[in-house]
Amino acid sequence: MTQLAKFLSLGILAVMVWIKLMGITDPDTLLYKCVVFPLPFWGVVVFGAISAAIVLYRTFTFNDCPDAAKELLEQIDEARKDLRKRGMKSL
Amino acid sequence: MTSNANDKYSILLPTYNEKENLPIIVWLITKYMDEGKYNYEIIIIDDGSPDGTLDVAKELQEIYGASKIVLKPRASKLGLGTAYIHGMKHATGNFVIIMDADLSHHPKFIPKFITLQQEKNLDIVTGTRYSGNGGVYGWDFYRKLVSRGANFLTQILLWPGVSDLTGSFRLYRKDVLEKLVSNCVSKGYVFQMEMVIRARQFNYTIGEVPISFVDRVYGQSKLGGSEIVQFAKGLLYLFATT
Repeated sequence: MTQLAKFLSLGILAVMVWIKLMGITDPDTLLYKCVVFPLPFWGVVVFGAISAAIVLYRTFTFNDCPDAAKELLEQIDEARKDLRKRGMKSL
Repeated sequence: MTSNANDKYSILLPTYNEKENLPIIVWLITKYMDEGKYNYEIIIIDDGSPDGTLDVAKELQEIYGASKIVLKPRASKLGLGTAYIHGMKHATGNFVIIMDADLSHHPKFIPKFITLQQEKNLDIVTGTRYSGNGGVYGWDFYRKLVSRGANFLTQILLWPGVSDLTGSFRLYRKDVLEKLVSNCVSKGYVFQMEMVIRARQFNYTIGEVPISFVDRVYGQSKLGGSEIVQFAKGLLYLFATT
């Protein structure tokens, strides 16, 4: 099964659950009007908010690795010196 | 442990205009591989670089010997996927390591890849910038945001079971790499994603080692609109077909 098929199956399942919920909730109640009927909308909002929070958190905590850059620059010098000593002319 | 003295590592270095970086990366590879007493060879696949990368490679071959440095140049720029096929044909090791020659992938991580592979008897070990001590040097906020966003979207859509799909610092069993390359159709860095997704389909075991990625010290690294479009297309292709 492709990822697309998995997502379609999950989507259909979610729609069926939603329709069922609408069927068993009294349409005149606040619960129906504010929660059950607009459930797909709330789903998108909650998913979007959580996703944005995760991506932002990971962006701010992305390791900067300044030590790795420093180590590399030192090793570049070392490599050049050693290779010249071993007869590398193009350096 | 499955460590054995017969293991040999073929390190593939596809190059294009890497005259400055090639001597350094080769020096670093030999340093860490010699320290670990590993049996290895470095296969340089230069795609007709106009800056004379191949001449530099020949000089390195004279210094380190033809058994350590193997030159398999091609006449023109033919792309990464075919460079791996070309390099693999000449690889004499039972493991293949692929990495960028631009110094963004530090050879100090290779012994860690090898150790993890031996401990868990894995088919593939991939470097990851996104977990543990992994990270990136030289990226601004925008670049990090795009990278994290793209990675998040990929995780949501593909459920790859691997935290870094677009990285290209990896160790493969040679037969596994051969099978994967022959089953992959994508180009560019979508190719790296497809390799991992296909590996999952074939039930290969994959391990991850956190790496620090130091973005190009020499030369330019770019992330433009066309890269993002290429990524999005590749992601949707894999989403719909795998």
